[in-house]
Amino acid sequence: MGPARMLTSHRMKYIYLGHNATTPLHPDVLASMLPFFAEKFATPASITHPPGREARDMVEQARGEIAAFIGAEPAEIVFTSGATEADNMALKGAAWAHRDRGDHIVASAIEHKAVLDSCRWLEKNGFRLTVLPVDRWGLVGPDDVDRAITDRTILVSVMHANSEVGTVQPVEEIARICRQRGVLYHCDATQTVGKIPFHASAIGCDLAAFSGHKFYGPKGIGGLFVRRRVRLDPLMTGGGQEKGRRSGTVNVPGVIGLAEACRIARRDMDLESARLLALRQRLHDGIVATVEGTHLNGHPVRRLPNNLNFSFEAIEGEALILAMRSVALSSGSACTSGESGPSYVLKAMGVPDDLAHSSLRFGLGRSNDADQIDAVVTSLGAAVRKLRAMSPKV
Amino acid sequence: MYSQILLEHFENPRNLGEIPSPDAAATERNPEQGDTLRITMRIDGGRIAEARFKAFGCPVTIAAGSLATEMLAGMTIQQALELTDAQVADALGGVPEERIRCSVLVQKVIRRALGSLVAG
Repeated sequence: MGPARMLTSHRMKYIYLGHNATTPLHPDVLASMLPFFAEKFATPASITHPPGREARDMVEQARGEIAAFIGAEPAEIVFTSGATEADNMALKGAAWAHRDRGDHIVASAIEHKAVLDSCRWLEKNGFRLTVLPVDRWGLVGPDDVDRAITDRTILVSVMHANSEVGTVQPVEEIARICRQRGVLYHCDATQTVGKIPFHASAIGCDLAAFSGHKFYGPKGIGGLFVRRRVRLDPLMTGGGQEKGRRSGTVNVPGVIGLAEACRIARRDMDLESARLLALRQRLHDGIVATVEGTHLNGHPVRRLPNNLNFSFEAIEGEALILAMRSVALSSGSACTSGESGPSYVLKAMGVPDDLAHSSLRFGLGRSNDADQIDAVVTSLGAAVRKLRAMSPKV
Repeated sequence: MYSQILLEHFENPRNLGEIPSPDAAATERNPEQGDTLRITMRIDGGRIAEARFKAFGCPVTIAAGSLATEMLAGMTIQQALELTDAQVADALGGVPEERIRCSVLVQKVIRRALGSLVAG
């Protein structure tokens, strides 16, 4: 087989392990959305006619289901284009609305860029930022949160789980501290909603971001949980949709699809996360048995059921991914991220640069089975051996 | 993202390995990412009769090492010294500018390996 044909076939047929980045649309989600493109196309703002009122009813029913799924009241859900917008809205909207009260924001070093870059934007606009360190597992210390809060602090942002290493933060404790100190707590739950239980009122957060496409819902829809009586300045102004919090015509098919994704997640979460845990264990054990010089990144226990992150000594991550050919993966190597250095998350955890460059993130999901995991282990072992044999002794 | 030529050299590297008792040899390492390229050469009658490489790093580093050994075979020492990283990158079907800097280590390796022969 010539190289061109081989490459074509590898594009067509691969094992997808990028479920922490995005997931395929569930067929039931697609089916639920289809009527809302061409047939039921009215916007819920058009309450003067029956199709508009039907759209409003459908959106409000969906809002109710989504709210129940994440432990919120329907009025506490604001639909957005996804988690990036929700994070921007939480950070900038809360900081701006409370600027009479303070000028200080606290965020962990391993927040998503949507949070960190919003914090940097606020810094440029007169706010001060404290970045919280994480330990070697990627955990934020609740004591560090407590120490960072001052009488000028408006908001603390600590994610529920990290997208690269899967570490799950002690969010209940952080929420409790924020409540005691009278500051808002924003929890970016993009990686957890739909994967593990996320219950906004049980956690006690004031704001929480989530996104449909991380759990088999559509891209282009997400939301921000905004606890009652929490003030936010809108990012989008205009038609006053979403009670003035987010102007712009509501993405009706997206909202319907998001609700269906929540319904499926609610139904399947326990079984699916147990299945993924078993597959992940199989992948973990297979890698450790097959490849020498591996390092697990992230917490050994407190992590997302579908996430594994390994560094491989004397290997560069992008070369490893390419050498594995038919496995879709991502790496913390600088060469794959478009950044000047390796993964800032691994760096914040104190992972040395050479190991950060050699890291792979495995994001398991519905499409994966035990045969695929075994194939990945075999392919990984062969790729590591091939690349290490190429390496000059330094 | 990468050309077919680059991918093909990465998947099936040419002249991988080390020439025993080489006439010229050098190793270069990019201190930031750690990409490393070693080239060993056999020289016969003022020409490079054979070149072999070993590499650590991203796909570009590995493919550049492989392609460079093919380009070097048959060159005079002077021709080899005139080979640039940009030429290697072009022959690979194009490499982004910033990646040439960090991953195409060919020029430095050749100059280090052959520089002493010319000076001597």
